[in-house]
Amino acid sequence: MSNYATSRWFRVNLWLHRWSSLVATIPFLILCLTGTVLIFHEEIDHALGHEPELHETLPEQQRPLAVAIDKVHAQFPGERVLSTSFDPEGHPGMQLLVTAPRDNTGFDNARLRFADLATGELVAESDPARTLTGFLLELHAQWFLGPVGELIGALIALLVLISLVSGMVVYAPYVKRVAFGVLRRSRGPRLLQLDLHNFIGALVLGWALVVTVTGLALGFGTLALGIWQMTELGPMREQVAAMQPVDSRSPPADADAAFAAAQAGAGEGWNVVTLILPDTEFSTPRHYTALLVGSEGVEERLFRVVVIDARTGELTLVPQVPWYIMAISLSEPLHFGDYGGLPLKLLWTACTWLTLFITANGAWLWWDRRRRRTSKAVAAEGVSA
Amino acid sequence: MKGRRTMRLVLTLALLSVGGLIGMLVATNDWDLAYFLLSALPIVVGGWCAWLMRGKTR
Repeated sequence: MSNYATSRWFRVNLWLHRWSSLVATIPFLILCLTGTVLIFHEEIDHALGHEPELHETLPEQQRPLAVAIDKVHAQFPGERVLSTSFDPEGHPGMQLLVTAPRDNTGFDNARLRFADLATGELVAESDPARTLTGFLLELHAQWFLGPVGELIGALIALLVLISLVSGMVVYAPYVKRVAFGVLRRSRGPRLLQLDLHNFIGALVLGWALVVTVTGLALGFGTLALGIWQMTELGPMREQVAAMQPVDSRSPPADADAAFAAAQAGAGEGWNVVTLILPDTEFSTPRHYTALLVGSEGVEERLFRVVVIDARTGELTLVPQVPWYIMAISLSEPLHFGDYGGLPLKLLWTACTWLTLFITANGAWLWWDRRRRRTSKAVAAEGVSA
Repeated sequence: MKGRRTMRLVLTLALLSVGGLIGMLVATNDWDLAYFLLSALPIVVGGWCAWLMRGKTR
């Protein structure tokens, strides 16, 4: 055995690799299984009929946004619209409306309704919490524990990150003895599983680092939003407290006026995708909040925020999105792999399954080693007796 | 291939893969295929190496 393999540095990393992996094994297996399904959440939702039939609508055919909002309020008097969005790629021709019971300001009990942009008619609805993918997402992202569950997810990601980094250190002496790509099939199941563990681990290392680091960042998503609201957006909320609120179901400046003001204030290449109505957890009792995304490259995955006065319809504020919110925003596609079409989804699935395999076979390697040691100790005791 | 050269290969492949995944996100559509191939490179190279080394024991 080389000096390196007996060094304190190596032994510490071996201990870290073994125990961080073992502690994270069961939750990580659940994350891999649910993650595999979530990669294809769009396809599954369409197949299970949770999404309306899609069709293109020309801009001149588009009805005012307020038509669908008014229809929701008329058809469901106990509800209010929290936000309205467009998703031209995922839901062409549709206006998406997030609704909740009338006295709610949060999005926790929200329903998603779809309106035809050409007619303003409500054509479908979905309760994300009651769909298969919604259930699995809540398990994957929050462990059914809300924001606390997100932090638990971050802790699991941290354990996996420690396992990956320490795994690289532990891998170094192994490759001095065994060439890259060698799978010792004829030397017993233990060596074959060890070779598979090391070889597959090396193949998925880059992908696993990306998914783990972004998972760690996403675990702090709700916390980061709260910090932003309390710090940088805090002074604005204090000013608003002195202002007269508006009726959030029918503000003086309607959604179309707010949308037009937000779009006029958007920089070149940025488009309004979501308009949050007044008096929600992401808007003030007096203002609309508009979310804008860019049209190309990385800007498609970033967002800007514009605040519009719901009484006058004027642009009030364009707050700077802090770096940590931008980082979390970019982490989402890099974690779920939904930004490169079917080929990337298949690559994501392959890497997830390979990672699933080495997690399970790593646990088996530990268990097998322990079993062998126990039987050797029993045999030695038998001899000495 | 053994030792440091293997470590260098593994780390280089991991870095290229990370570069491909991030590049695909930040670049315009024209470069998507190139970045996708880069992100899949470790699996392709690993598969090729495993094929070449089949039957070997060291």
